[in-house]
Amino acid sequence: MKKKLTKALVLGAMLSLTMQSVSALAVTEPNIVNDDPMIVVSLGDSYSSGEGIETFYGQEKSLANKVYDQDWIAHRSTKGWPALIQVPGVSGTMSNYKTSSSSNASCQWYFAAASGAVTSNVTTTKQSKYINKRQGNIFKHTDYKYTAYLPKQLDVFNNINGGVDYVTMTIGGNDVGFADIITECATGSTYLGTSNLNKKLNKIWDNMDNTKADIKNVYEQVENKAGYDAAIVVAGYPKLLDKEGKGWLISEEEATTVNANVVLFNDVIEGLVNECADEGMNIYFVDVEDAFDNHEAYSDDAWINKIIFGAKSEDLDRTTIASAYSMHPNATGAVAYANCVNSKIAEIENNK
Amino acid sequence: MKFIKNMSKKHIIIFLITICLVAGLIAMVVAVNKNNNINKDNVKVLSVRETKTNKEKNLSTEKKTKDTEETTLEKESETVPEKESVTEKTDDSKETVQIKETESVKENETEHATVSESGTISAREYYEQNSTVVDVVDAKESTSVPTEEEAEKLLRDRGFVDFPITVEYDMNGTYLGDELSEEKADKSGKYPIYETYFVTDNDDLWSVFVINGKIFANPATFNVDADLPAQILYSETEELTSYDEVSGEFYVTIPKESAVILKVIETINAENLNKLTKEEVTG
Repeated sequence: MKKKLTKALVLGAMLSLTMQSVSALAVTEPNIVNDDPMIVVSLGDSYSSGEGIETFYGQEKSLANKVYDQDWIAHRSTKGWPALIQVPGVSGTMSNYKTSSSSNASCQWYFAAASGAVTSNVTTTKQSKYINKRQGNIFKHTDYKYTAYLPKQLDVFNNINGGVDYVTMTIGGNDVGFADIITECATGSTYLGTSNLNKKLNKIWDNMDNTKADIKNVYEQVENKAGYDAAIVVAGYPKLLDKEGKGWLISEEEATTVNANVVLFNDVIEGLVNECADEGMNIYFVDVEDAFDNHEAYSDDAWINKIIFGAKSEDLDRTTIASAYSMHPNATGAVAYANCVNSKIAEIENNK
Repeated sequence: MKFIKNMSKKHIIIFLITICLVAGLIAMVVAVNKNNNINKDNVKVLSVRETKTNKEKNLSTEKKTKDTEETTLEKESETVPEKESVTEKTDDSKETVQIKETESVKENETEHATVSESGTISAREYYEQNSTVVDVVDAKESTSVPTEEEAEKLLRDRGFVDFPITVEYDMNGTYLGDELSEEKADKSGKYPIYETYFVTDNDDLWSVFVINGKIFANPATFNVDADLPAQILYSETEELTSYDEVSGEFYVTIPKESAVILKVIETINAENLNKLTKEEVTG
């Protein structure tokens, strides 16, 4: 009798456990099925790709392999601000969800920003990247010299199944080329009459109408590809130089002039975003100027790299005048950028 | 207890199984409730996104309606001139703001240009204050300005072969900021300043200038990295030649140390610049 009673109790307990397991499975199931995943697409230029902030995706590969890796060629950083984007309700940052082809994951992040990209590289033309790297020593080495091509960034939408929620970007900076101007001026000489900062800046503004049209075209084309429901989040640029300049290399007046021009360019971008929003586009501007105050290049606590002459080991072209890392946010700067963008995304989510 | 005692073994087993099943069901209901609470955020996101899908449909419709409205407005503006003028005014006012902003930059730039490029003081005054002026030459009348072809030969013969040659101004002092094409057929044009770059085996960058036929070099990497009171420049003589686009003149000067740290080297070429160490340049 005792034995049979024990058997019955054991059987009962097992049944009970089975029922609990079944109930647990029934509850976790909704997390697996995702009919409408969160989809974030990050486009844009080097400020979005995270130029200058190692490690880049694909960097761990051998040189022979990474010269064919689009992520590495575009210098897409694992620590750039798009990788640090957070969307309320999605755990972790976008770096946890990087996707390159069609996926069913609950959150998908498509990273298509590329260092050096101008507006046309987003919308119409493939981007060429000259690679000149050497591996080995002077006695035995292999030279990798060729031009790689990145597809136009809008092509990323061809890989996406489902509605895009967010598109983030910085774009237009390379069209005006503030960073290049600063670098070029640093190789010149005011005494000899070869440092022409103001002349170079004037040229930017002479062409501003075209630049504005190109930037607006990017917003419109992104909207067409991403869908009207996608929120387009456009971030501006930080002031680049410490207000006191850098000794004789960059005078206080030159630093003021450069920063004033960056502020005005941000105003142009913000104006275009507002114009598009007024026309019904789901688009938002994120100002990063205040966040970077007192953290410009050459400041005591700089979040922007100073001018770096010569190539860094991960630069694509070892014969370049200045490293592409120059005048780009460092890892701390990327966090500051991400904080600004994340605040805007949280605000958008709250308003839904 | 009597009831239990009176029950057969079969009944007892059935009774126990029933109790276990009931317990299992209760446990399942509790677990479902608990999990619902844990996943509140997820549920929220899902519900928001469901709403969004509906919104999407509405927005698309709104957008279409808007497009139609715009078309209608455009058509109206064609026929009703008053509306057209209102639209134009709005556009104009926006344009005016933008123009003003651009002008304010240019004002700043002009102000700055007078300080550091042309100077509130003239180039002549600047060089008189910062150097001993040896000679002032009208650029257009100078016979020493090389043609594009001559400048290219001068720089390439000295081993500066890796980078393109750029020019900043034409002979009238108009800013060009152009790269000279290697394949250009006609290279007979003259420019006051030619510039190229050189990277040493140690990856140090130099910029090299040809001004009125004279060659000068700027150790850019050392100048940027070292904390020096003035810029280091290399010349083949004790003199430097500068160009002022405002007056269109070359200034041949011996700079004061507070303005330029002048270093003299017999020949500025790739081989010699490559040999120079950081200590030699900045020491």
